[in-house]
Amino acid sequence: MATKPREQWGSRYGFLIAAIGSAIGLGNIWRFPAEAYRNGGGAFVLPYLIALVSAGLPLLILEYTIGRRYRKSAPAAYRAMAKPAQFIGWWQVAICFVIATYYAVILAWAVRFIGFSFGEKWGDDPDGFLFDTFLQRADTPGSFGGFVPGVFWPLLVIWVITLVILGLGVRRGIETANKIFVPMLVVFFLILVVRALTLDGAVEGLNAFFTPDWDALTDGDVWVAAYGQIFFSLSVGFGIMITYASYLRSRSDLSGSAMVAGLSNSSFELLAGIGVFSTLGFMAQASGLRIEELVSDGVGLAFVAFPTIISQMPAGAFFGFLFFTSLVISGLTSLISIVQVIIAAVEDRTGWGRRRTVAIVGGATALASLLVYPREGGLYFLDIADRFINRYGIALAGLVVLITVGWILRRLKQQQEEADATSAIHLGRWWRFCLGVITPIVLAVFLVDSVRQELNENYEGYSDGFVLAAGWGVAGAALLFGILVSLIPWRHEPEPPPGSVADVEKNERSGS
Amino acid sequence: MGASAIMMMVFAVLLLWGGMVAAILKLRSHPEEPEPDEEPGRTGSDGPEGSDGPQGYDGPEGYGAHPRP
Repeated sequence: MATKPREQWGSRYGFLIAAIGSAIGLGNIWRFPAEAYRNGGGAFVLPYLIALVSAGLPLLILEYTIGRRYRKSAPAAYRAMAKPAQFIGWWQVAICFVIATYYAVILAWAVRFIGFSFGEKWGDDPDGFLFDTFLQRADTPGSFGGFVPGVFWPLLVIWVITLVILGLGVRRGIETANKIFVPMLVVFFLILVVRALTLDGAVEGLNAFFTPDWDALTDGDVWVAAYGQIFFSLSVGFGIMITYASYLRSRSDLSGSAMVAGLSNSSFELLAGIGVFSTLGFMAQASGLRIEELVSDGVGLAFVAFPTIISQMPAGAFFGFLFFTSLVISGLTSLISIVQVIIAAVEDRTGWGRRRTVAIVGGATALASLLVYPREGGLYFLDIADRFINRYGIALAGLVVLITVGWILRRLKQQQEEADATSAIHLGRWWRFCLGVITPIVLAVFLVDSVRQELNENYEGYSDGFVLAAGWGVAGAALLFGILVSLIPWRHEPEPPPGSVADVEKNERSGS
Repeated sequence: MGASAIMMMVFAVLLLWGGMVAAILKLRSHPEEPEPDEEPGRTGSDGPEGSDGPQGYDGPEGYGAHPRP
């Protein structure tokens, strides 16, 4: 039978730039600055760094070792570790499907706002412009409502670009795209930050951002926030890094690569914090408001606060162009990695070729995205899906992975040896302690607290029905998908070649 | 800007950006070793275009064809 050699990155740099492109996304720009500000300001650096070293980097290394060892996408890699563990991989595939469908739509908004920056189309009321004029948001959540062409068409363009890149494959598509986009992002964003630093009031903004509130360090919520920021920022826990690492060569340095990728991601966030708060400082002095009143994050920061500020500043159109283009680029390189998880999983499971898989599976993802989100009710579905899939998808799956790999299968030592065999930096017992003890505890605390919040009051005050169907329902469906697909038996189970990793493990399992 | 804010900004910049630079330098000082059985022309291959293998079959490639020493 003809077998296809697995695709590979063209070079170590290619893998790194793709991993960095995946990690650096919308969250670096619009989540980190406000999160840091609200959780101790300058003092947040401490729990943030500790979270990076005790959870983020160890998790990143773990995903790299799993991907590189088994040379398979998430479901197949977990299955090679232990057959029942396969469901985790399919669960992560479903999570990626959900995220990809709504993540793309935010990029579509950003694309439009590049254009809107010229002439400041949002006028005097950016809030009204965003929600009423542009998104045509329905008054109440629950139904999809009519299609919004202003969002639909750019979303289609985003999907076409994404699928073309994925269709070209790992080296010619993903790697090439990241080699172009990531340096472009760095340049654009650096110019943006330098421009922001020259604005009147920038220093006051930086002062607000970096002034430490040391009392915050005694607040458990701040530590959970730090771990949460690291976890969600690094693209760990939903199979992306396993997938990307599966295209590595067998002698790749894993720990060193993880350090570079993780620290690059954090460095970019810090840059974003400097840029965002310089800009908010400008706004404070221009409007007479205090910075505390102006701090926002997410959609509100990017599509309401920043447009407001752009209208106030000289050469605002240029600033807007840089800002929204940065959002698009950072988001696109992340979107590519999310969809690749699904593509790789189906390729490995079915043996289909890349183009067929991208057309069918990528096409289905794009179709779902185009049907659900560019609608009058779309924003509500986006908001609640994001909340629930992040917590009861990514974080919960991350916890399950650690318990499974660390405690049930007891594979941490093996994975450590996998990394140490080819990496200049050797991991110590601390790595296993971080993954076996610290990170699971933090994730468990985060999830318990999260569930407590859901039980106390409905997220954003949405109705019970909406929370159940569009929140819990989506998260639950992802898990159910993972379990059901893993129950379908694999046909043609060939014997692994003697001496290969899988053969050794198979013999160990059967006790021979 | 307050002294403590400046201190925290410098601290963060040195640790994160400095750490990133240090990590890059460390990685560069450890060049990638060649594959034990690397064939010429195989590096960076995307694989044959559009070949649809049989359903569910991984082939020997799927089991990590490079045995551990």
